[in-house]
Amino acid sequence: LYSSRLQMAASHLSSGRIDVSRVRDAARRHFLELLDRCEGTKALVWDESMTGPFSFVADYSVLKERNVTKMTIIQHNTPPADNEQHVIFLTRPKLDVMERIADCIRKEERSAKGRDFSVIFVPRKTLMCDRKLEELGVKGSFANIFECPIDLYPVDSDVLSMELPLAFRECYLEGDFTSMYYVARSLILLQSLYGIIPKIFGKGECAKRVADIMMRLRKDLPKDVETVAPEFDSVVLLDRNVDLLSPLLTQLTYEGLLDELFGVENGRCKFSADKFSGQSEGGGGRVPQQQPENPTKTIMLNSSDDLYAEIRDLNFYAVGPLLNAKAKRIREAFEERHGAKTVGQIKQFVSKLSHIQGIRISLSTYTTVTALLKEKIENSEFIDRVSMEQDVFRAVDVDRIHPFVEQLMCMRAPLANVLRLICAQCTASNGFKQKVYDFYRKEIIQTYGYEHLRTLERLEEAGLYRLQGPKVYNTIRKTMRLTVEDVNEQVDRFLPSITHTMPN
Amino acid sequence: VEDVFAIGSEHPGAVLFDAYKEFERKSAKADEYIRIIRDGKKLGEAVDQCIAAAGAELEPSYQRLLLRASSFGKCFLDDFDSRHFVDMCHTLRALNAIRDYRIAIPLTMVQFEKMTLATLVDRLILRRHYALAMRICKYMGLSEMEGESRVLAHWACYKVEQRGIDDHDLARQISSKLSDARGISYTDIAEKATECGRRSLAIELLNYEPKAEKQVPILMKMNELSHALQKAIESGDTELVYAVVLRMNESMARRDFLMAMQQSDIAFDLYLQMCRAKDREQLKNLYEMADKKVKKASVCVELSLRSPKVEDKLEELDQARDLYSIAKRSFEAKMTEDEIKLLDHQKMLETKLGVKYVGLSLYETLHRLLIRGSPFAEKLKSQFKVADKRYWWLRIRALTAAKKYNELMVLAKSKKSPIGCEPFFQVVYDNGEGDVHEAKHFVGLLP
Repeated sequence: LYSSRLQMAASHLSSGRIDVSRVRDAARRHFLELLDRCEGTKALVWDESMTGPFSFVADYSVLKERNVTKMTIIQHNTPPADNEQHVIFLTRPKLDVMERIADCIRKEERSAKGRDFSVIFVPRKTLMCDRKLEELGVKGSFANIFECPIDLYPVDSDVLSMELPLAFRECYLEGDFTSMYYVARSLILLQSLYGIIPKIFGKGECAKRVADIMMRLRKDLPKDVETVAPEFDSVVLLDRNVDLLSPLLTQLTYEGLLDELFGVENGRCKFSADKFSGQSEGGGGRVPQQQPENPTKTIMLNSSDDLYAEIRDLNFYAVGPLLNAKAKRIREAFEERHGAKTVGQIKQFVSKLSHIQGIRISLSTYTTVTALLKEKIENSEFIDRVSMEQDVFRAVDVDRIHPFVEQLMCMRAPLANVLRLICAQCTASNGFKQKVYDFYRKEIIQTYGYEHLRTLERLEEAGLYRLQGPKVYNTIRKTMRLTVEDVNEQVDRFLPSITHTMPN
Repeated sequence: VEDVFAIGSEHPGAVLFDAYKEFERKSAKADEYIRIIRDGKKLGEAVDQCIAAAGAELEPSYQRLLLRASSFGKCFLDDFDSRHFVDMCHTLRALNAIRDYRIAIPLTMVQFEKMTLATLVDRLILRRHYALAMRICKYMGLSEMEGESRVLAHWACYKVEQRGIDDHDLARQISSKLSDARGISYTDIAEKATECGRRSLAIELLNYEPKAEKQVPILMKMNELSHALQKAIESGDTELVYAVVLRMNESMARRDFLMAMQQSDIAFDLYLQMCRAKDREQLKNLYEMADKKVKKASVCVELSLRSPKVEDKLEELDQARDLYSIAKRSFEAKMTEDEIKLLDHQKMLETKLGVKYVGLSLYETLHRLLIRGSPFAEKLKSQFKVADKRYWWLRIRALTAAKKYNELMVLAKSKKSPIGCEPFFQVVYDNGEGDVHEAKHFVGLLP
């Protein structure tokens, strides 16, 4: 779901929550400090990928206090500011963004409005970007070039994300382990906020790298950190490639399905507004996005909503009945108003009312969302695909999949679905026999295009598509108890092996 | 001091002092004196005065007397804050040490307070009394950063200037002394060593520097580029590696540079990334050099995909195909050869039919040709040896897309289908809302 490259767990999270607002506060401090160093009224121009993560750090009202009067996204044709004196670009260190920024600055300078320009790199400025700006001839136009060292974004009370979606590709395909350095840095941040973590467990090559870098960086921490009682007593570092099967399978929890079908980004999900009747839009002004012709409703998905916290991890098919049961209870609670006769009783009822209203709104929202999800999954393509996935992870009759995939390709199903299934099958059977290997490759190229010669090469480099090695999946599946047969539920569940590798 | 020692002084301090003297003599007068002060509620003042006097005294024996007097007085006070007393003891100890003839800094208390501890430590350092400085720092509770670490750093620099000891030994000596202290910048010491011309010492010292971002720039300055590269890689900070690689690129001869890149996978990969961002032709050369034909072929493929003009595409693909063949990757070679042929056809079709075909997949090309009912589809089928089954799927989908249901029905009823009748139904049904009723016609065909 979330694009963290590695997952972190502390073995005592079950006994109490870590206060992640400290992370947010630290991040906010860095950011606002930099904003304050820019003079005058400010226009913020964002790299699109940063608007989401930064919503966890500071929302518009906080920025307004700091004299930010306009916000836009870095684009070719939009002027970044109206009358603001200071234009501040905020971006990751990406070379293509440098070009767009340079474009923007050149246009502005031609119009000679006498503005100041600054740029904030998150989490840091890279040598390549610096040189690029020089090459483009705009480096001198900046009043300030800042680095804002924010590595972690608090997505929910128990999830911190680094929002580096390309980390896997960079490490495994390009040999660029920069993201591992950032991971180590973020661990250092956590230790400076919550105390030195005494025990470190891990599995995988990248995990080892992170641990090594972190131990080096740890030597530089001020000594007084050692006196802080540690709130985490261990950290577990896991490489993504310890378990490549899980992300390939279709997620069947409520939130998982939302992500698969609608896309959950930065804890938000967008739907077209006309499906939701008579509800006011929450969450105040952010970066201007949609044109009015396609009004969308954005829903925040996190544990602040009790109802959502309850249903998000349930298997999708269990949610419908649960919502119905809740609706019934709410209705009954609401009907109590007829039974309230005395002033005392009425008072009691009224005090419950706002709570009930709150749940009602939640219920209404999620019932609609559930209905939308149902619409999307009640078709043969989805059902068949999930059934095939079941075959894959149950390691049962793996040969049924082959003709199904072929048919998918004949019907020209979306390539992503096809590849996911193929790679899932490949991972579970630890590689394909030569015949199957060649067959899929040829079909994919001839159906979807020659460019996928490269796609397949990359999949192979990442270890997702390859020739056969020894068959171990079934043994692993049984010893680690990865699958659960459940008579009541319509689908067997596949428990990600990550949960099983945790030490006790 | 005057207040206390002056003859006949009435100050509480004096009285306390006398009281103490009497106490020492085990005389009852001690009690009397104490009471005097106490009744006047001046005991606290008395103690303070004695302490202050002790501070002003230069002679240790008198200091001790005064301190003991104040300590004596302290006993009678209920809530006396001992910190003042303890601080004074500490300070006196330190001052006495430096007043010693060997150090010979006769500081008075007033001077000391004005000067502050940090400056005193500096003076000691300047005079090279490192050991004493260290002990005073520790004793007086100076933070490591300000105290011990600074002293050690200066000591190390001093040692570096000394010629007597061989580089390697000296490095070891320094590191063993400094290993526990934090916040020491080995870089500064190493710079000093370089200034003194002791390069190998500097390099060894830099090995101990924990902060790679300091190590690497100095090594680069010293032109120890391979060392710098190694350290940068060890640190895991790719920015540093980039910095060194760029520098090496600029300062080394081409051949040497490329050889150096090949020594380390990480550096090589990062250099590849740099090239990919800037100059893919260069990338090809690199792979050629590293004899990575398949990777070079991949670059050709990527270049061909990016080129807008068909001639350029074909040129790159030719290269790719040859490379794949040499590398014995027959599948890739065949696929590339197929693509070359396909592009040729597509170019021709575009010219002839005025519709875009270049860049489509084989089946997509066939699909569009079938929708138009073009006879060229059959030609393409036989040239690329498309399986019958597949071809029928394509025909069904194309006819459905073109909504030519009559033709489709004819095809279905012909009973020549190698894939049965179900696909007919399925494709029409899945095609969309408007076609569901058409699908009904095909239901009857199912067994």
